[in-house]
Amino acid sequence: MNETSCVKPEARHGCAGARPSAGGCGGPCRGPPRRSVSRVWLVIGGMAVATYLTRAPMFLALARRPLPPRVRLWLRLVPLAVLPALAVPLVLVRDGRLALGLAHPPLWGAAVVFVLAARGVNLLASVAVAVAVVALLRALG
Amino acid sequence: MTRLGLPGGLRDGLVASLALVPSVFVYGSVFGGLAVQAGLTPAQVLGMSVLVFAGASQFVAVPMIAAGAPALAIVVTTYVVNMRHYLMAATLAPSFRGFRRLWLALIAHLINDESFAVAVARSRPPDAWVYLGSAAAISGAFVGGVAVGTALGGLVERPERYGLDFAFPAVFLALVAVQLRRRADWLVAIGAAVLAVALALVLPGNWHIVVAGLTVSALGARVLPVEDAPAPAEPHAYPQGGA
Repeated sequence: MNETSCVKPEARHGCAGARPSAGGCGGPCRGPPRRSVSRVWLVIGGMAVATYLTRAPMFLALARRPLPPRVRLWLRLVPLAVLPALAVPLVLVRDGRLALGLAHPPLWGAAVVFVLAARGVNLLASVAVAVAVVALLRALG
Repeated sequence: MTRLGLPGGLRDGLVASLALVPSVFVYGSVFGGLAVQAGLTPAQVLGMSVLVFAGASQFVAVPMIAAGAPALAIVVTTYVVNMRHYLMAATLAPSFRGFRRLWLALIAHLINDESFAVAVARSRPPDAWVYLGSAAAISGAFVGGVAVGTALGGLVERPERYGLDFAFPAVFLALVAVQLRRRADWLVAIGAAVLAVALALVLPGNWHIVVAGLTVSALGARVLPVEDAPAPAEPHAYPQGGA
């Protein structure tokens, strides 16, 4: 793991840190925290501003009319598209290539959490069971 | 402020939210624990939870930060995940006429899925004070949970041994699963997943999330029947844990 990829100060403008997506979930990039502290705070500040921009404008405008239906439809669909776009590559893409084998524990974990949550099992309970399944398969494999 | 400035609505909102407090608290502590595991300092985890205060997007950002994704990619992804706030803000806004702008600017930061659901379940249009009471309960539970989680999270060594690295995609998949109601929802979700996987193999820096998410949702909004749009005050977003 190239440790500098997460601690480069030049990465603060969002270009220098670019590297091929490893689909890294909880990636092990753990350089000494001291070096990346300011970059992480920069990211947190950016996230705070971006999130405030999703909350404040419509609220401060005290909108009299609801948003147009097509816009409401789009805003409802955004999380439905973003969350799978986020989760599925984390499960299926490893180090820049597809990981589709049945011996790939996250694949089973994904199936478990999806089925449980879709059947109305509590969200965190579904996640806990899926995490246990992945841990068990790793211990056995 | 307004002549409705009595604690009655506030208390109603607080009480109505108590049922949600345990799950929001646990959700926050799971986030705190995992974020510390991923290499953030406790101050960063708490700071993010107070300043961003949007659980789903925080779950999204942590593994990206840990993997060294470009700052801009993380911020844009956060924005897209939180775009659902526009819907809630537009619905809540008329109830807050008469509040001073400074208060509005602060209250806006507390917009969250759970309080929105509580407020619109009690009255339409939602009552401002019920909403505020709920927001107090939910934000306290979330930030309190994060604080406990950061303290506990540092105790676990080698998290991947317990499958904890898988908790991030698991949370996202669970959040999708509970939102899939119509056939069109499935089409959008599957389309976005397929496009994202294809893009993840070629695009650098996690941009596949934003590109696939925006492209497929916009396509869906153009093509799908407009009746699929949520009613203005429909609790449309994450039923739980989206804080």
